[in-house]
Amino acid sequence: MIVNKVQVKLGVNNTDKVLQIPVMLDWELLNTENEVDKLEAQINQDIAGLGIDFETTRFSHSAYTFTPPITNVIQPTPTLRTNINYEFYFFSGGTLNGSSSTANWITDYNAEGFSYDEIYYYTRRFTNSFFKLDFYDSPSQAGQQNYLTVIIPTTQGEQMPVVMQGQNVLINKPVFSLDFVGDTDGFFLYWLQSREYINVDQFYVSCKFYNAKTNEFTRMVNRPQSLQNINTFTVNNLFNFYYLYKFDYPSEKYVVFDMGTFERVGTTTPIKWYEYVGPNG
Amino acid sequence: MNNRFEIIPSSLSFKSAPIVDQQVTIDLNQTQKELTQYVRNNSLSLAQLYQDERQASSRFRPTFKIQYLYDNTLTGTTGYNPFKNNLYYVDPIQSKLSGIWKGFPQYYEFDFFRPRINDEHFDYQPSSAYTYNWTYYLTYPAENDYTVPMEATYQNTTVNWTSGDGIPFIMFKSIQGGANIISFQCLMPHNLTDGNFVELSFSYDQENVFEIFSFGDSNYDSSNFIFNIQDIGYTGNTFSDGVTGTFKRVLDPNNLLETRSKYYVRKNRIVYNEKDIIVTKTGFELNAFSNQKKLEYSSITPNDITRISQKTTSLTYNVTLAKDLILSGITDNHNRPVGEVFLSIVNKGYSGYFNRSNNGFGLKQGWVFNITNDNDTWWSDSNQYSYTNIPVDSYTQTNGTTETFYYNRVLEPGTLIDGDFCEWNDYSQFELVISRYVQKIQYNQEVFTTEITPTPNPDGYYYLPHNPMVLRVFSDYIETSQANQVENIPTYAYFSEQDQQFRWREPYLYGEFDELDRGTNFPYLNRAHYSFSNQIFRLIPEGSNYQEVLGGFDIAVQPIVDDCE
Repeated sequence: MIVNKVQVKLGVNNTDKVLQIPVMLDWELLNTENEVDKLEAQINQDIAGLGIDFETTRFSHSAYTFTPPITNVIQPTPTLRTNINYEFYFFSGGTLNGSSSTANWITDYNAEGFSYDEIYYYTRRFTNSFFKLDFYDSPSQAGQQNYLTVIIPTTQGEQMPVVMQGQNVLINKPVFSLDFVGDTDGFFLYWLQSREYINVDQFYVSCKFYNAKTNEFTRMVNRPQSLQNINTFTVNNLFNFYYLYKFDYPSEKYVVFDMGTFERVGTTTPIKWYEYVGPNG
Repeated sequence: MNNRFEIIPSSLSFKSAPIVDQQVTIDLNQTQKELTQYVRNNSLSLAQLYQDERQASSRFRPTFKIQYLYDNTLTGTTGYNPFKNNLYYVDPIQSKLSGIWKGFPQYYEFDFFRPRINDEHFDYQPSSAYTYNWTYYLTYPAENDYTVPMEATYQNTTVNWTSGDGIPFIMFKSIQGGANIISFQCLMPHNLTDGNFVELSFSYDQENVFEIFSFGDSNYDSSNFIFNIQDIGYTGNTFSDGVTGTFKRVLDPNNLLETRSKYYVRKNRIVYNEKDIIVTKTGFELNAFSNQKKLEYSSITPNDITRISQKTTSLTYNVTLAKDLILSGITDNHNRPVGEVFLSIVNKGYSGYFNRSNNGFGLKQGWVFNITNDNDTWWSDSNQYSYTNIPVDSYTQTNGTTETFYYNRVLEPGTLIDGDFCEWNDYSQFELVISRYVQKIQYNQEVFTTEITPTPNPDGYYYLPHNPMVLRVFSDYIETSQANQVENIPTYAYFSEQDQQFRWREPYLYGEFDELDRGTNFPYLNRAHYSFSNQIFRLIPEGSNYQEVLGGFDIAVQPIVDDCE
């Protein structure tokens, strides 16, 4: 006979009886700990966040069709070119008003105060000068952010003949044809290859010239002040200080547009920057 | 709550029933249990997170730094004006008298970077500056080819075999330490070690597996090219001087099937071609060799123009990818995770100096053992096996003469190109490169004549196209697991029927090194491994004996080999 002290008696009015039996389990589901570890790792990852890809890649100027000039010998064949062309015009003095004054802006560092000797002999005050292109996300100065700056040094560029000390010599002029080879500074734009952190595919680019001789910056605009209709010194903040650079991420190319006409520039039509002359000169 | 059970006291079961204890039997069927709730404390370790993320990442941003060494050694003549007017002349005064201008093509026909040359030969595109002369691929070993026809020559004896046959040899009898031996002069490093056996391609008395007795002969540095077996008095002509054949390494003659090595040509699959590869000059870094330049006076040039000509350069280059290299889901030629990738540099020769078309192909291929002091017959135009699978394209120009210029086509991603001659052993799970893959460029003799007497096998330049970058290293020990324990066994593990166990080598973690200092440790940031590799890319002129001397050096005093070596 098995003896215990539990008695089951009939309840009043034959009501049901309930047996409470404590059950102890001393086993676990397989790999529960591993699953918890995984969950733990995931939570940690969520808290710390996944690393952001800040890697940059180089964007190069998108190719365009170029038809060489007709010669007597060869029939010109359109070919693709990749160079981007810049022309920087400095105010050489004279009048500001009227379309006839446009010729007062010239592509010559001499107009910015450099002598031919300084340019020819690459003095430090000349070689330390540069053009500075600032890339903004918006043309509106109130809310824009500068994301990128590109320097075009004066040691690059095309050359022009001048007479110096009675001799014909070639000196640099502020006309640039930047490409994969040759003058390359300023051709490639290094920008984030991933759009997850900053999703911008077009920039509004303004230009300044740093004159190391005077230690001053000169603001540039995209059309000469002589073409301003109302007031020579009033330029449109949204349009006249910028060119539009559009980035194509899949092909890693960029294209430049004129803010006034929205036509592509930098091709056979160069990007032109003109010195802005203030009311005080 | 109702149920169909009633508990009746035993005394009421029947008349005069005794009072006894009663039992209730309850089945407890529990199929799940709630987890015990308790507090788990866990420190948020950024170092651990970084480590976890790093080990899990299969994204790479490789950079190769290539030191390019070449010598411009072959002179020739041409009637095509853009070429003739721009040579590095060797005897301009004599050329002026004879009207036949002889010289070297300038450096820009060899260099990675081709500057803008106003030679009116073709319309120059700056964006293609790095891809006119050479093209670049990122490749990984993907397949094995056991049927590639091969040929090697040693001392006027030529051996032909296919890659799957093993390593070729020429046999001769000798005496070593008073014992008669049969020596096997291999035509490439045999890589055998003590305790190995060899399976020969022929049998003696139905036996073709032999134990190795010793390595080398009396010559210095011959041990990796000669192995010996004991001559216990074999009769007949099976083991005679001059007999040729092939052998395979065997680890255990009692387990021949599993421990016998396999031999093959590794096939590399292209991941990216030149469209996604960026080549740039490496700052101001130059190699140790100076540039050779000279002034060509107008009075002794064919077009009466004074210019500076340059024969060589000493530039170094950086090669990076425009896209990330993602290796997840990609396996190598042994179904393992890819542990090694290659920057495969292949001649393009867009200017048309090289690569004369032969049935649509111009670029030659072979292996290091095909580079010999004399121009090996393997490279002859009559040997169809010496051509790569890279087709040529062409264009025609007229200037002085009308010429057709051939250049090698750029292959698309996914294409396979031949690679190194390798050995693999299932049992030891180890791959060994026996002889590296070589390509050869030869001048198109119709455009630029370097051979006075026309020959189907003109001299040229050799190079090793596949430049390796090790991403992961497999362990120097072999993991094993019993047949019934399949958890955590990688899919590439080899199952040994004899041992009834799986065998494999585990890839080391990134940053982990073994006792032999084997391992990789690349910077990890931006969710990618920034792997790098420094390589020397050589363009080897004809006549340079690249492979080590097969028979060793017959020198009286052995050179001192110390830690410096």
